[in-house]
This record gives sequence, C-alpha cells and structure tokens, in this order.
Amino acid sequence: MDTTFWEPEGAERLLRPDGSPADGDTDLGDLPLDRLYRALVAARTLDLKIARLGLPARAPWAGEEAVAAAVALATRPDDWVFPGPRDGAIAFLRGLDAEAVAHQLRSADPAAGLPARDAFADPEGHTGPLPRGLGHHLALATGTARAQALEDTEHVTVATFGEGTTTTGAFHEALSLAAAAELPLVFVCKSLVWPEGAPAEAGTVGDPVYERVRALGVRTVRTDGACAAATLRHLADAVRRARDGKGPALVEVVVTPAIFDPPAERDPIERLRRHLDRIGKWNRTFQDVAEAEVATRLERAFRAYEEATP
Amino acid sequence: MNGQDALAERLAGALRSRPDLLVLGEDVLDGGVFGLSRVAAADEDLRPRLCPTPLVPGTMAGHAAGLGLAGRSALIVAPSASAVLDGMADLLAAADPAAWAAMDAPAPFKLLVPVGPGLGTAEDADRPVEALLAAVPGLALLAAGRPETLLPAFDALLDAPGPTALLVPRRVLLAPQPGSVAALDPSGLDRLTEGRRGTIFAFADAVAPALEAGAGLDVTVAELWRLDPLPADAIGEAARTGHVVIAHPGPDSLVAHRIAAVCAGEAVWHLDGPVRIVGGARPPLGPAAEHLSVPDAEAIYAALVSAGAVPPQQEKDRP
Repeated sequence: MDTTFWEPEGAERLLRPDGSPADGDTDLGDLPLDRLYRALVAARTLDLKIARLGLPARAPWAGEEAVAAAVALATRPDDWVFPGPRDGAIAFLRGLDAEAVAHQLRSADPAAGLPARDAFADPEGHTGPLPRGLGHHLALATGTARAQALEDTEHVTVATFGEGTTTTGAFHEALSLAAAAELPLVFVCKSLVWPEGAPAEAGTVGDPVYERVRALGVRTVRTDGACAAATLRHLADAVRRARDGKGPALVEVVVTPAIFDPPAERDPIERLRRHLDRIGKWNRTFQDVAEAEVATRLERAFRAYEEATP
Repeated sequence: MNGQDALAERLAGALRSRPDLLVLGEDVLDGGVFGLSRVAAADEDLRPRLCPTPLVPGTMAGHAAGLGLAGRSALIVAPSASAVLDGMADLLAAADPAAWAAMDAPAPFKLLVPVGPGLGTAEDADRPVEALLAAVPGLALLAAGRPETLLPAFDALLDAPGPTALLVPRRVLLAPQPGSVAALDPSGLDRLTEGRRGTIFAFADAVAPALEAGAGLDVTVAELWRLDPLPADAIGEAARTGHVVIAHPGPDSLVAHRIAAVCAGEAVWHLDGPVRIVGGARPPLGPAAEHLSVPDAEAIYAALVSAGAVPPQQEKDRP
C-alpha cells in the first residue's frame, strides 16, 4: 500500500495512506496533530455549509484543506496572509468570526454588503481579500512582506495560489522581487497535477513548480496535500526560515480535490484520522464534537443573519 | 534649478519628514529614471526607503498597495507611459474600491507619471495615459500644469488619502523653476485669468498655450489640477461665461469630454454656444515634435472664435 497511482511523485509525506508513519523513525511529536485535525474538519464543515448555499462563482476546497489548516497553524496573528481563490477557509481558521463569514457570504445588496466572491477578507486579522484576477494578490503580498522586512520584525507574509497562477507575469514578478529583496514571503502553490493533471497551458508543462522555482535560488519543497502533517511541517519550516530573515520560500502542495472522486486515503482528513486512530487519539465522540463545534457556530451565525435581514 | 532638481529636493525632504514614505521604481537607488530620487539616494539615512523594482513594472501598484496595507505610504515613480500601460491590469485591481469591498478601503498608494513625447523607449512611450488613468475606478488623478504648481501638486499627491496619480508633463519637469510657487485652490480648479466673454479649461501642458491664447481677450483661463474626480461645482461656475473651450494634451481626452459633460450638466442654461474641445497631434511623436502634443495658442484661439467667445471686431483686430 506504499505507492499507488494516486500517490504523487517527489512529494514529501510523513504518513502513509493507511495513516502509519512514512518510515520507522518518523517523529511527529512536534506537530499539534489534534489542532490540525480540528482545523481540517472546520474547513471541510465550512465548505459543506457554503456548498448548500449554492453561491455563484465559488470554488469548493474539499480535499484541499491541508493548505488552509497548515497556513492557519503556522502563522501568527500579526503575519499577513493572502489566500488564493480556493482558500477562503484561511480567514475563518485564523479567527474571522462566523458572524462575519455569514454577513460576507450572504450580503447580496451591494450598498450594504459584499458580493460573495469578496468574502473571507479580514483586515483586522491580517487576511487579505480573495484575488479577483489571477495572481493579483501576490503583488499585495510582496508589499506587506517589504514592509515587514523594513520594520525588521519577525513577521512574515504567506500567499497561496494554484499552479495556474504560475503562468502569469504577476507570479514571476512577485517571485523575482521576493528573491532579489530577500523578503519574508512564503509562496504556497496548490498543484492539482495528480493523477490526471491540468493541461500544459495551465502551468504544468515541464518540470514541477518547485523545481522551476528552485532555479531562481528560492528554497522550495514539494509536499503531499493528502498528508496534512507533512504540509504543516514543511510550511512551518518555511515560515520559520522567513521569520529568521533567511528570505522567501515556495512550498508546492499536491492536492486532490474531492470532486476528482479519489480514494479515501487522498483525503487529508481521512489520512490524519487513520493516524490518530492508530495512536488512540481519535474516536467517534471526538469526531462528533469537532464537527458540531463548527457547524453550530456557523448555523447560529447564518440564522442570526437571516433573522436580522429583511 | 529646473523642475527635476526641485522635485528631487522635495522628494528627499518628504522622505525625511514622512518616516512611512517609500519610493518604488526602476533604479531608484541610482537616482531613478528621471533623477528624481538622486538627492535621496545620496543620503545614507534615506536609501533604505528607496526600493528598486523590476524593469517591467506590471505589479508595482499591487506592491505599493501591499505596503499601504501594512501602514506604509508608497510612491511609485513610473519610468514611462509604456510602463503605465504594462501595469494597467494590476493598477485596476489595486485601486478599484469594489475589489476591496471586504476590506475597510483600498490601500493607499501614489503614482508619479511623467508624461509627454520622448519618455521611455517603447513604441507606446508617447501615448497619452491621462485617458487610461482617468478610467481607473478609485484612482484620483492630478496634473501639474505649470512650473509654479509642480511642487504644490507633488505635495497634494503625497497628502492624498487614497490611490492617487500625478501627471507631470516633461516640459514642466524640465522648465526652470520660478522663485516662488503658487498655491493650489483646494477645489481642484485655479482661475489664472478672469474674463466675461468665455472660458478656457486647460490642464497639464495645455495650460501654457491656453494662457497665450487668452492673452488680451476677455476670457477666463482655468487650470484644472484635479482631473478625477473633477471639481464639478467650480467648473460649472467658471463655465457661466457662456462660451467654453477645453484644451487638453494628446489627440483625445476622456477628461476633456467629462469636463464638457459637467458644463452641460452644471451650466447648460448659461451656455450661448457650442463647447469646443481642442487637443494635440496624434502619436507617434518624437522628442523633436513634442510641441505638437498639445494644441498651440492659435488652435485654442480658433476654438474660442468658433465657440463665440471673441467678438467679431476683436477677432478682426487680432494680430
């Protein structure tokens, strides 16, 4: 069960598909697996809630939650995060309250609220708006990272995006700028390249993203998005490195959206659940509580919004 | 001292007095394309706030807006009109209030755009960018029309609360600086001369020929230094002479057409003739043909005659 058609090549992982450690001496002791699991479940619950709303022009993120959860756990409140179009859960996981999520998602009146695609921004929580154009948020990220570098603080900026964004000039300009000025900026590229892959014109031609970017002198790593533990460890390493003034990094995360109907072990929640189950930290009650906690918050917030809105 | 020298001094002074201010642009650590940062670059204390950017600045506005989000104020020195064209998509995203609907407001940034033939090396270098910038939602647009107002206009750019661009005509930049500077009317419109028979609205480097055309006539010459949003009330008031000419740089102007629309909306009952719009020649124009990019005084005078602002007897007597 070690290597299957569904396991991406060259991607770092800490857990095998059955949830066992990737090798005998894998040490997961430094990772907050319990919090990570709850974050994954929260992101999935939010995705399901939004799916039921039937909002237009929304990209679901079921199956890709490892990135949002890892970003939320690896960053500090004063760090800036600029999520990509399929990473709306980041703002929620970083503290945007359920009431604000409900308001942002349901406000249809342009005079009073926001169109759905502008949801999940949190200026106070230092989470930027979802990009309207491919890669536009990367320029903003270079700006906040430049300010952080000038202030000589330990703050960092993280930006997430899909591999299609690597075809844009904005991506290359942001990367060049970050490398030239040694900005504390971590690029997180979600690649949907496995198992079928996107067409070449969508950014998958040639070497994988992490190898192409490495040629610029930027530190890169490729992790398996089905293994949330590995995604968190490598992202946290990149963030720590940027925080220490060692410059930008790119973490390529190979994700498998649930809409591809992959086997269960490609689901980051299921793989981590198997691991927690193996080490005796998961049971049905734990699962129910994790789900209910978030579902109840969201349900209350959406109901309150409905009742308050004529 | 010319406008370039004066602006370089003023920029260094602004960096000293505004600790949050940064300058972005090509080669700014070596003085920048127009030498506007050369005084600052000679000051070791200011150099850390001069941030060189990639040569094709496709995402400079976003970079500056990101700095704005983090509490900084970033001034972009655009190297040419073609650079502005390269960055239009990013500029639209960075300035558009709708794109920032979920945030409190668009993050502020400033854009200094030297304009006029001979700037830059690309084919589009002499293309007028005023119409493009005026069409960017959420971007305020200012213009320096005379050497006397170059520094006040620059100060207004730095003081602007939101995303703002300042057009600086090359000729204003290269002209000798007068001993004293003029104050800008807060409305965005300065009446340079007062008259009863007609009004010339002009902006950027069309102001000088407008003044020349109006000399000896009973007309108001009004310089617009705020092009977007336009000072509608002040325009309506100035248009009450009944005969209106609008002089603008470049062959076509979105701002000129907007001024005409404001005249129609605010002063239609006072108009006694057609609103005439007069511009410069169509690009490409090399540096030697720079003077053709704005209408000359004769063209503006002809427009005044056509608009009915010059009495027939006076028209006959004009040398």
